[in-house]
Amino acid sequence: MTPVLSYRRQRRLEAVLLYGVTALVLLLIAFPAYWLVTTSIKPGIDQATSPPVLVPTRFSFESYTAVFAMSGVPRAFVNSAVIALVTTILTTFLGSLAAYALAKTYLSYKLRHALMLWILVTRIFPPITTAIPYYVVVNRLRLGDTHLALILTYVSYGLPFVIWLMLGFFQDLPPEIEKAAIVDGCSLWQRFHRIVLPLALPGLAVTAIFAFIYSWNELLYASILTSFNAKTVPVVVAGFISDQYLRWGEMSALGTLMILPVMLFAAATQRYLVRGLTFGAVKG
Amino acid sequence: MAEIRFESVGKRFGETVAVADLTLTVQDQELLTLVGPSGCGKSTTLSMLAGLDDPSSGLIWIDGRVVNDVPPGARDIAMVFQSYALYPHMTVRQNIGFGLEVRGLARAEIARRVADAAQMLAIGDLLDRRPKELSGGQRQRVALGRALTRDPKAFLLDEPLSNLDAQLRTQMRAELRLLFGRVGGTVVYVTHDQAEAMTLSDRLAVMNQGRLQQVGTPLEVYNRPANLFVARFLGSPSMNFVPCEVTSDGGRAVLVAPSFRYSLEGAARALGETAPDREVVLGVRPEDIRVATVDPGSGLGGRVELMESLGSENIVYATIGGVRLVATTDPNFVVQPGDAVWLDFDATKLHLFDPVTERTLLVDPTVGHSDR
Repeated sequence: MTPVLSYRRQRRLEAVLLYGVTALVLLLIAFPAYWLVTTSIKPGIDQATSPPVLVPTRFSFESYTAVFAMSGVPRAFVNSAVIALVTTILTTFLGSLAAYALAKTYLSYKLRHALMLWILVTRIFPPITTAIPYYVVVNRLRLGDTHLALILTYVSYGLPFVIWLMLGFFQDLPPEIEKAAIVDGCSLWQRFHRIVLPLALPGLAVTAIFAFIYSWNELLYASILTSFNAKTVPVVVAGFISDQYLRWGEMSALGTLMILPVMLFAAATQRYLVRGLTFGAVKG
Repeated sequence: MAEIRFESVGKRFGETVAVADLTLTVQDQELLTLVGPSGCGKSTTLSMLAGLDDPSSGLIWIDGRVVNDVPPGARDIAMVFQSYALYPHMTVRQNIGFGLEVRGLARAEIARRVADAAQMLAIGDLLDRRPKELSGGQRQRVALGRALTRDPKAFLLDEPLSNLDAQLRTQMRAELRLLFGRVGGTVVYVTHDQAEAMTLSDRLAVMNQGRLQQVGTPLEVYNRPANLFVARFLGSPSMNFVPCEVTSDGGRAVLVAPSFRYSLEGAARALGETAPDREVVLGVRPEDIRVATVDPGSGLGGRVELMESLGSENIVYATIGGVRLVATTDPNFVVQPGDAVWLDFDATKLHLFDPVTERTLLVDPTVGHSDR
């Protein structure tokens, strides 16, 4: 065998391996979504059979009809949308300000790292450990079953992630660009919103998507802090599971509907996820 | 436009001294170049002048006003950065006009100034492009345009040509000289490139290890270097240095090197007569050495080690005894390694330095001749 053939065979093997692993990963990611969507359009008799119906042959929209007939669903969608959007805006804005301050102020290495760890502390505890204190505080503040209670909770949980992620983006911006803005006469705020933020758009898009997904899907605090007025979609979905019944069809239908806004938001934000935004700023 | 003055300015970063006791005046309408190797403190000096770094000591004056506590935006200076530092999300037009917009100028005035700068820099057709769509040279012009529109008291340029290729650098060098001649501003220019410093400057200030070494016109500094560092830094190939001793030989001042003797004349001779038997370092520039393949009678005999041909000139590396000397010659003068050659110095252009203080010993070196 000549070395050339052996090299070709090696390349072919590498390609097969690459595509094989990619397909496997795709399958792992896509299968739950496929299962959710197909279950939502199966008639009840096919939803939880053994062996399972992998490829549905009969279709029914009875689960969707049942979901739309429930009185609390539209309200839950409005609640989820308001809470997720306000949370996303607040976490992204406040987190960016905090990250910019950390990235640009002349803090000592030790102090900066101490602050960064301190910020991360809220994410170190499992959420369940702080759920009861949160419940007590929210009720004392008379914020029980309000949008504000969930927004404040989600913002406090989302901030560490936004700060950590945006800090990296801000630190990667070429310092000369900001120096040029300083010489051009920009104030700190002008530098932040005219120069730095537009260049950190990919970071903002990523954090916004994650903040939206987190607050849209969050269940634990939503089920503890809300009962009727501010009830969100995940709480309604969880309501299909009880000790007396497990309503797969309705759960899948609402789950499928729940995915759509996230996909729309991600699609709208995705155009900002571009690399090389600062290309051309420095050097040749 | 304005005069700029550094008064005993120093800058420390922890224990490191970046700039030490700098006292220097840049005259109104003058193009002064701060030149020196990497880490010599020239960029830090410029940064302090721009207000991007605070001096640890001393005062900085712009147009008769101490600006130590004046923020960069209020100093009325414009700066061109080594890396261009264009705003990548803005078009060329927005980049050039941004400083004016921040200062609250009317839109019509901004448009007029942007158009003027674009015409001056021949970038009128690029105004609606973004930086990533421009070549290195075009980006450099935009960065210059951003500075020009501001009509500032002083222009600060931090190695603006160092990212360009050699050919474009030479072209832009000439254009910059013409441009600032036309605009007529006070310019502080930072570079490590001695050719840029020599060709662009009205005066140049040579820095090393945070200290100012010498200030003068390019020819003054080149022809009368104040110390060994300046002599070595300016000129390519670099000046030849030979440790020697000055002695008196029958009433004549003679330079004694390990492999040759050389009779001094003029100021050098006077030095030898007033302070004989002292060690010195002889400095002679490659272009001040004549090389011949036939003994002219006054030459020092040596052998060729290597010859480099640059097209416009040749560089001959020759040894006399154990001492290597580098000389530049006419491109038609061709020798081979191992050939015998005779070297003769232009006695009017010799330099003598103190080996301890490294300072020059001659104010006006004049005539001398070889003495084998």
